[in-house]
Amino acid sequence: MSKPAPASTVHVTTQQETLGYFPVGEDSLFGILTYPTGESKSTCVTVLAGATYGTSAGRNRLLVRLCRRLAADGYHTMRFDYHGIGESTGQVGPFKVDKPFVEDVDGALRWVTGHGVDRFVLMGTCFGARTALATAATNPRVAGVILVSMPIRHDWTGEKGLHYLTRDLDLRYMLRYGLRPSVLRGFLDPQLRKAYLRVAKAKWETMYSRMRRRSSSKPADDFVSDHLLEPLKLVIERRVPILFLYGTADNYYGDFQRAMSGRLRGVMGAGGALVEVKTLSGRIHALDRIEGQDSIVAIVEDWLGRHRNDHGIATV
Amino acid sequence: MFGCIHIPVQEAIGSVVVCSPLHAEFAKNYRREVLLADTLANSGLSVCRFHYLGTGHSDDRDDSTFVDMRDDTLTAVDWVMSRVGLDNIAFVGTRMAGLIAAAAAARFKDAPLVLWEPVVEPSRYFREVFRARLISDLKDGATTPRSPDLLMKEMSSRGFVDILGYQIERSFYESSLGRTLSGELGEHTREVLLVELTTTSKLRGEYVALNTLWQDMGLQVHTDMVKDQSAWWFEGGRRDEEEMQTRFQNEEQGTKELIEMTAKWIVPRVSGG
Repeated sequence: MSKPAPASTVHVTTQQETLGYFPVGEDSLFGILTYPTGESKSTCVTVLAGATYGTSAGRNRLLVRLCRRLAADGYHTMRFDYHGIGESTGQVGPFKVDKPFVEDVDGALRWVTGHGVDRFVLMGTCFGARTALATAATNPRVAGVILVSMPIRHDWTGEKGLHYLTRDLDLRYMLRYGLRPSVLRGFLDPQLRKAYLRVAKAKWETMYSRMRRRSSSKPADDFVSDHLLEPLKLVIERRVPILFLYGTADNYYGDFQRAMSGRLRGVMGAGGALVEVKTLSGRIHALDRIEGQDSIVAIVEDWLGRHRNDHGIATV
Repeated sequence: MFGCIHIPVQEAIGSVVVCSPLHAEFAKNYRREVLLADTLANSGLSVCRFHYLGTGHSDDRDDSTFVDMRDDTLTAVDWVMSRVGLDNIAFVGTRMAGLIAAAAAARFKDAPLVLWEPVVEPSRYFREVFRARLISDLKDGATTPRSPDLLMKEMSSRGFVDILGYQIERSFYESSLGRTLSGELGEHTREVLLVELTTTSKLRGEYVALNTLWQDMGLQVHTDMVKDQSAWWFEGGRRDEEEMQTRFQNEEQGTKELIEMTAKWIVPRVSGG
């Protein structure tokens, strides 16, 4: 495996950026295209934010820093605001993990294609990762995918949610604990009562799904969303390189590890060396540590450099 | 510097410069500011929003200070005034940017000032922000959560402190301490709208005191409250979709109310109508 090219020291600024609006349905989405300095790699890395109502600058300007850093390495880069977010028009409701914004990304890629680049790598965090994967499954111009702290399930609950807490709790223990005077008194408090009922509901749901699984042909990993498995299969069939990146303390990493004992392992295995999984110590999902942010930038830069040198990024 | 000017379809009757808050609060308030600007532009005002250097989509700047950000605001003022050709201007500032907006507004006699949940005293603001780090550390099960002393040591050695993934620079911290909202605005009489975003029905004590101070100085202060449960630095935990939908709708309603209230107050005061 040849060495990746050293990172450029050229400082990219707004002087290398073009701002604009592009149409998606009835909305106008705002995007910023950063041009590379030095020799162009003819590939645009498009960064997709997570489920945030802020702006495509990202937490602590992570996406701005990433875009400008990769532009210094020779990539075009693109960041944009989803519909209803930031500078874009439109309205958006609560983000749903199984309903990624594929149309938004397709619109962004069309806009960049109009500026002379038609090969893309998509990088997304959390909801952005699901959006990146779903887009890559249907857009043949996507030649690489980077998925940071990607949720595996149909919804937002991660393994450290209530379902995890109650999954392995013995029912008899829960009942004994629930009958303690101090706990019973808690039912008089509206907040505590609500919390107890949520725990009970979560336990019931885990027991019910276990019973259903035993009496049906449903797989043990039925918490893994088909809206993830299906696009992943398609992306792997197209031989698109994929990087999965998780923090070892991320909620979603626990799900990912459990999912790897089921269908996900088979799907990823079909990709062979094209599918890479990296972890960072601690939590990166919320991007709430600068050290984690810096590590993500370094890993993305390194992965792009290695793939460029080793395999080339697959063309359309 | 990144900036947007929302230009009315008809001839502009005045201008507004929006000073955005910082760090987590910048992201939290972003869409409100966009929607406010659209609403004001529909009412005939040109509105300039911008990202201070070193923030958002703007170019980098190391060691930003309070004065740097005030000067960025004055640059935005020059920009919008040169585009529109009018000198009647108002300012909107949220949280810490309330002080920045006040410092800029002080240069413009009579300029109305809108303050959304403003910081009255930076030292208290930074204490709250550092507490957010402490809460996060405790939530992560840290055996030695970062006390304020440790955070100050971190700031001293690294030049910044990491608060939930946001870089609070020492230069900004040190240049903000000792300032006050009333000190930055100065003594010239003007009209001020102060809005608290809260779940309570009574205005916060520090805003009551500020209101009294300003009234005594001859400023015309209007205060109001908008129901809002969201925290500036923390996002709500991921719950089921029904709870998220409810939370989203509540925030949307609060935003709508805030923007309508602000537009109703500011438009006649900038346009002179």
